[in-house]
Amino acid sequence: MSNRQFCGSMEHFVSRRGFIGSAAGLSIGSFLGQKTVAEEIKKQGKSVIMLWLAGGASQLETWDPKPGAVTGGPFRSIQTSTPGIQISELMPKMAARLKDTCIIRSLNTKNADHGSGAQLMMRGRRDDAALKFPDLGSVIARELGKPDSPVPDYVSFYLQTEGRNFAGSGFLGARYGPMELSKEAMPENVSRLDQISLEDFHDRQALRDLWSKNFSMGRNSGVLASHEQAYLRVNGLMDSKKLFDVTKESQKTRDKYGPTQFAEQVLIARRLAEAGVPFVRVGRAWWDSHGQNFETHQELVPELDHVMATLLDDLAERGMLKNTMVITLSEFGRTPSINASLGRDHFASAWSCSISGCGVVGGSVYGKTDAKGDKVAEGEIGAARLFATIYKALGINPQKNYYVGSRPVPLTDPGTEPVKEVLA
Amino acid sequence: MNLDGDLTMKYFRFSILLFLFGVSVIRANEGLLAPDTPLEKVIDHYISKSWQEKNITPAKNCDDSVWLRRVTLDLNGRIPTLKEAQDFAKDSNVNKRQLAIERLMKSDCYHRHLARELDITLMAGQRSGLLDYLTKATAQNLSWEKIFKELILADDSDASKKGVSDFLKTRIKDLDRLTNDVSVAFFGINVSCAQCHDHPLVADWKQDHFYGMKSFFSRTYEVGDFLAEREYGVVKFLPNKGQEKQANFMFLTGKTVTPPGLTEPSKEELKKEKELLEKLKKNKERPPQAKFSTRALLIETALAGKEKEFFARNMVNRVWNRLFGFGLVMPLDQMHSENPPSHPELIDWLARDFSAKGYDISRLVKGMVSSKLYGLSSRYEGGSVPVSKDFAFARLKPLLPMQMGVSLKISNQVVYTGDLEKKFEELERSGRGLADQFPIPGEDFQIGVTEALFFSNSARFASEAIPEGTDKLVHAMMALPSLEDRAEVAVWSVLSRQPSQDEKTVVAGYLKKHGPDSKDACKQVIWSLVSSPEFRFNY
Repeated sequence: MSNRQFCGSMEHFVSRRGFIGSAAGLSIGSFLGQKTVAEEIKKQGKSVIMLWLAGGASQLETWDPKPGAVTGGPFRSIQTSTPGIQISELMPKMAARLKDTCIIRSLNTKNADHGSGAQLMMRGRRDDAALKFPDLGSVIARELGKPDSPVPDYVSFYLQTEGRNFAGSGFLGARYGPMELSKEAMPENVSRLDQISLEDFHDRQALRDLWSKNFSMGRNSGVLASHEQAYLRVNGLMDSKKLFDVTKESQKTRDKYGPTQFAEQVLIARRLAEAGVPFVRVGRAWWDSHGQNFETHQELVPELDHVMATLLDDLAERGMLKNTMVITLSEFGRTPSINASLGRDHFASAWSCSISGCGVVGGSVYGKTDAKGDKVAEGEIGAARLFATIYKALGINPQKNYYVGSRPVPLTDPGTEPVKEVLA
Repeated sequence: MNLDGDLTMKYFRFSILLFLFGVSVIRANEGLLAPDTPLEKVIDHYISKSWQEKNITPAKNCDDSVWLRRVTLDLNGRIPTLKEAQDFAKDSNVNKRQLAIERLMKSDCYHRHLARELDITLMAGQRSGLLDYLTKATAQNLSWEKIFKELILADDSDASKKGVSDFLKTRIKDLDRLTNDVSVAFFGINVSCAQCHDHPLVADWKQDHFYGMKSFFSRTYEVGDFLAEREYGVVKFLPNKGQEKQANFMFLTGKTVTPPGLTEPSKEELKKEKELLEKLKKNKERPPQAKFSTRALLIETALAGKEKEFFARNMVNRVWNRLFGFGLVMPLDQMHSENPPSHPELIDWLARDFSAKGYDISRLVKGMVSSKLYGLSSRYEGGSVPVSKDFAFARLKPLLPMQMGVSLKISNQVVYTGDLEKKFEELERSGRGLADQFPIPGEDFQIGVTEALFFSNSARFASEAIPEGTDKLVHAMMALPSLEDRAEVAVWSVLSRQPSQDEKTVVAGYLKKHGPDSKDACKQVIWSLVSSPEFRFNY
């Protein structure tokens, strides 16, 4: 506790590094705004794990089946643990443990193009002519991350090639960009090179600190503080390497998740959330089933079902579910109509996603599509309201302003209301 | 401190004179310092006047070594070489700073660096052929006016102008973006808010302005790899109140102009045009030039009368921001009536001068780096620290990607043989890979942990940024028997200054502990220097 200063008031209970961080924040002015203590406490320890189904998963073979309709396809629907709610028979495990999950069946996001659709569903809005918006991960990193955190605050697993490169920190800048894992499930540059011993590595850092300390005297600047902060986080991030090592988990736990790459990454995501990483996205690609939609989904949905149910069980057992939100989302859904190749095409007018755990009403459904799934019949929402709902559930004010220069930029467009029915 | 004793007295006497003759001193153009006043004196005059008014004590002056590093980074995009740094410190010529400015501005590094700076303003890091064009344009000392005209006319039919059309070509598929980017880059105005509604805070910007500016580009389109312009066409938009309306060809000041071709052509003519286009596209032929270009009309409008103030003030503000780390108007794209400059007379004078002297960027640059203001320390040791817009101390400027890449190379290069200019070009080329690892700093820039991890653990960084070789710093250090001498050459080479005795003792101690015969220990010392903030920033 030697590096803590405590005068008795909550406002002043800050660590030395935390103080450096907040000083850095303040010096970039109104950009970051003032956080109230209440807001801070509410957000403490919260994390998001996003299962990103790249290419566009079919709502009809997952959360919104239409058995018997001409658009329904070959799969049945099954009863879930909540009376009156049915989902696809490809998801028996989630059906049995729907109690923590809210299904949203009424997304109309109007963009059925992979690239711009993915950008929209990662940011909650379209970039405008002058501004690139940060994606959900960057906003969460900014809002829930700590400046001196020894762990990364935004990790993105994206080992498959389909639908990559649509994430980004936009105007929030490199500080809140994702730690991208696109080549292997271990981040870059977190391992000490063989050519330098641990002792030399630390000595070299101490020598660097000396130059830095001398230079910082009489110089007070936000960007200088961020440079220092970055070097202060190096050792912590190198230590956090073990979080990415799935072999550190018991065989029993690994067996529960299963041997697939997706399962292992989701397990790593749980390890990261447990260690305080605020946002982890696990990309699972190849959902773009223009041909053979049913075979594709027969292969992919059971894996999703198993891994998601295992993750929720695991989070619940560890007492983490209250503070961890699990989102399943794609860039869009798939057409109710079935094409000549027995595929389903891009469709953004009436599709589904799910939010589980932190801040939402479990065992519930919000919104409704019509009998064939062509249109939203009730509770239509777009990307903006979905994002407002996610922010609200995490204790983040969806109307909070960031300032880009003098321009106020709220987290969601003005007047966007969260969906009350989804919020616990 | 007063940067400008003489002029203040002159100004004072002049005011008294006016007073005696019953004329009040008004702050209009005629109240500005005389046009023939040296630019650097004007800067120092107005800045020190504002310090006096606000009772601000500025920082001390920086020393010669800091000044040389600063000006070399600003003018040549690199740190000084070991020899340059040591020679300058030893040089007793009282005019050595002015001589250094002249030497640096003559170097080809100057043109290439200026081109890269302009490229960042225009392309924000997006790669295109524009940099090639800008490099040629700056080497020929083309004025900003000329560059602006060429970029907007985008005529690349002459092979020597290759890349000139890329500013437009990379944006032509998105006219809204093109409209806003032109307004931001050339006039310091972000009109994007006015795309959907009249600006909520600024009375200057209405939807009419956005669509008015868009009109000048609305006739431009792509035919295969070429740009073409129609001789007809207007922009229509739906205001957030009322019926759809036709936009005027309107500049940001509200000035409207009327080009020919406001009516749509007949179906017959449109059909003919379509056939021609298909033929051109198929044969990969250049489309004929329009008889009347609305882009040329924009240029003419923007550079005439009162309108030209936007063009002049924007560049003055951008060059100022680049050299002093903070614009006279901030943010750079908010130059409007609700966001006044910190020093209105100064920007007025500089803009008037810039426009009168033919939009010569180098004249502006030279005047700014010759000012006393440019020589202030970035360390402020007084009581309460003045705010950025008081310019009472030098701001830290994070190095641009290429400044980082080249400077890392130069920090390790102690021996230069052959033609120095060629060597610099070679080091720029070899530093490009490292440069790509760094983001372009913008307003509110923050350095991320990815950079610190890259420095700490990347094999590529270790081999490229701290290389071995007989002309390299590691070799030079190892060749010196005294550990303190090794410290000295390392600090000179990387930080471009004399180390203090304390620093030498610490580094010598480090080298002793880690083995006086260890090359690795030398590399660790170099690492500690290149990863320090003193290297990362132009201070």
